[in-house]
Amino acid sequence: MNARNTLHLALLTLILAGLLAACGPKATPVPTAPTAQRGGSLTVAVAADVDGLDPHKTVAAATFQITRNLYDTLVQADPQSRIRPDLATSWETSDDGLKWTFHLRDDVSFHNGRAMTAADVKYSFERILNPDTASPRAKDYQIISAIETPDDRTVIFTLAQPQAAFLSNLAYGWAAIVPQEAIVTLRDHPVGTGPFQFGEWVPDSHVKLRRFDKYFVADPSATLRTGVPYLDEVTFRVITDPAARLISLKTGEVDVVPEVPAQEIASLKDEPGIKVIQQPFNGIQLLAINNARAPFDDLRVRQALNHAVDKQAVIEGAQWGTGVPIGSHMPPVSDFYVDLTARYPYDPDRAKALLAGAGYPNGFETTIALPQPYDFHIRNGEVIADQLARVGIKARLETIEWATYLEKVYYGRDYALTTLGHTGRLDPDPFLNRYVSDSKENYMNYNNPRYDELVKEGAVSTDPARRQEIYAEMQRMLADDAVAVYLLAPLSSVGLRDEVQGWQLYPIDIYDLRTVWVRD
Amino acid sequence: MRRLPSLVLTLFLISVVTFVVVQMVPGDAAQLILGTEASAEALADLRAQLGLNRPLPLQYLSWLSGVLRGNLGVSLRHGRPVARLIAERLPVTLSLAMLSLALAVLLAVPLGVLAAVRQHSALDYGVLVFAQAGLALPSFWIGILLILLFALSLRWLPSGGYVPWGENPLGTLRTLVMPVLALGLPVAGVLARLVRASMLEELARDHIRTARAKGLTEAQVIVRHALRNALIPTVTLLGLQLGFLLGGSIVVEQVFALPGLGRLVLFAVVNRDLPLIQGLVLFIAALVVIINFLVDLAYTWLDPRISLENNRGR
Repeated sequence: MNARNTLHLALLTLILAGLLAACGPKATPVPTAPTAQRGGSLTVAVAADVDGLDPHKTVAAATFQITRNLYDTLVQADPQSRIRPDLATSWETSDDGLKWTFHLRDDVSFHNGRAMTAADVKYSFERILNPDTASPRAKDYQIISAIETPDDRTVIFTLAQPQAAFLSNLAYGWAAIVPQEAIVTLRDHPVGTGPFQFGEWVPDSHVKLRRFDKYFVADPSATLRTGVPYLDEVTFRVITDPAARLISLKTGEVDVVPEVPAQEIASLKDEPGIKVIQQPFNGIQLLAINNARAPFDDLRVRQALNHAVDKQAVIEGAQWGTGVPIGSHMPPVSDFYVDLTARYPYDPDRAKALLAGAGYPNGFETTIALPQPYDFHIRNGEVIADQLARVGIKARLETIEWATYLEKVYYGRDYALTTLGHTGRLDPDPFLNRYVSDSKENYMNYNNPRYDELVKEGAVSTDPARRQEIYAEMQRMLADDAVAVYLLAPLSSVGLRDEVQGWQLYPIDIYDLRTVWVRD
Repeated sequence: MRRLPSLVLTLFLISVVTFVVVQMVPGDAAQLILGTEASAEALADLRAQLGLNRPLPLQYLSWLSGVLRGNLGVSLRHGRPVARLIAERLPVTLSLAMLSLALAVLLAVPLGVLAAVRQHSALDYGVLVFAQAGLALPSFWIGILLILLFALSLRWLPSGGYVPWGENPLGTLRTLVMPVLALGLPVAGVLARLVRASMLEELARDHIRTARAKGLTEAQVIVRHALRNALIPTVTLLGLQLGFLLGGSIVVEQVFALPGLGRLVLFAVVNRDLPLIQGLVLFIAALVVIINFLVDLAYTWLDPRISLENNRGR
């Protein structure tokens, strides 16, 4: 680093310090150490290749983990799940909740050098909604009935009806703002406004990004500081084999393994030069029950299952202690979480009594479908089968390859019990609306008219307090009706070389490299 | 040339069988793309866009007519031409397979010959143990052991990844050393056993006694008279081992993060990417057919009495 750069940084630090002071006691401390260094490169091991780099045409987690660094959205979620400005500096909504006005930054340019304007925002959402694009996420934005751009810095969305999740829906990677002139090649040669610009993509090998020097700095008082991104270059290396992924971290060929399997965490923590950071994951794991299939159509049987499963033992035995028990379909990291873990204490005797009351004094035989290759779900199923055996339920384990599983178990609903997980969203509505009786995603065949009503009300309510009540009631209903055995919320574990600083975990599945830097 | 019609028929039948089998296996590409987060509308739209809602015979015929015009179609998941995907990954797998084959031959032929010449010696038993181990140890396990030793403990070699030949040939070799060992050693084991057995058989024959009686040196007897005949079954086995090498590359490319055809095959099957599966199967089948033809050519060189026209393959 030369003298001028040092001066520059020092100046920026001073300005930032001033800003922080101005913000007073409300200011959140910046998560990165104050001595962040600029420069250097970083290699991140990813488990799967991207499904193209066009954010409007995929739902692949592997793509969005990376595209956060290439594209920006109108708003963004911070690590605490709060919605923050991104391309929009501020926004307001009409009293009826139908008009959303966003004021855009005036200092944003695309990687091709052109300035980003309101027309690009309008174009991007029209593209998502255009049936020819076949965007798998189009439904999330179908509520938009008109988009106006009174000037270059203002975008007004008109909604067909109020939608509580509208703002948070703009924070996901699939709502990225893209430039019309680069659409044809977007899949292989992405152009965005993000902190990094595209370097190269060698399929099944790696994606390389380079720093975009004209990147604007969003909301410096909260999560980011000037000077980001720090890294010159980032490489995402595709290493599908989990053992090989960890070895490459140990040899120093990669600097970060963002998803460390639970069973490897202990050995990684002992490794010199490597650290592990952990945080509750915005998601849940459960034992799903087919509520329409006998004997599970009997509430007493489902309650018996809930009393028969020792969640803490599942966490210890199947997840090496990395997770917290839950009592309904909501992870504790959510603002809407209600603690229902006491609803069904582990009690095999009560489970047996419930089974006897339902006409199964000697238990029964059933099958747990296990999705291959998700070994953590498979292990959950193995531990649970053992626990069920203690109350007389003989559960046969059936491991099913993922494509077959999706068709038969998930979409076909041809199963009795199955272990699965669900990734949380920023808003509770898209997370909980799968239990609506006629939803295609209602693979547990839950049917409760009161629940259906609550989903409808919660989706359009603009009163935050009322929404808290609604989603609390829905969680209680799911627990009372024992729709599933809600097992645990897992921990996210990231393995990093000691030199890597500033890695942050988010409530949505992204690898944000803006704050990351490498110590000499 | 006379065989061409039957080859084409073989490939056609293979493509029909592949299509039918993939249709029979549960799961479809659209479901896999959307996973457990899809709405019904999104699923229907995507299936329509991918052409999965067209009648099955129509899907097959449109694929076939494309192939006849030299177009293998477009991968559902990659959204790119299948031919291009294959062409990009072919150099990796070809390098891996050829080097593994070369390693296997270079190890197995001398070891097999020496073991036969010195039957019941310590060397002979050593070769037999090596061969047995080669048969018994799976490639992925050898691969992990090699990584632990050469990448993690000794830090001599990168644990995985690939550098194209055009970029840095030395780097390419470094990334290929361990995969080639993992894939080539089991083949070497099988091959060494066969070379040894064929050599023992040949050495016991009358013409060897005659050659010795003529006063030829032992080296001449072994190389020109015994080995040449012993190589015929070896070459046959080599042709068959190609199937093992391509199958093994699926596993080895996974362990060493090599962007080759094996990874592509696994990806295509796991994702039910029908055009990609069809294209890969057709390509690999054609490759195997060509290799078998080359094996037949090798027979005529090894033993001029074998003629491709009259008495092919003996």
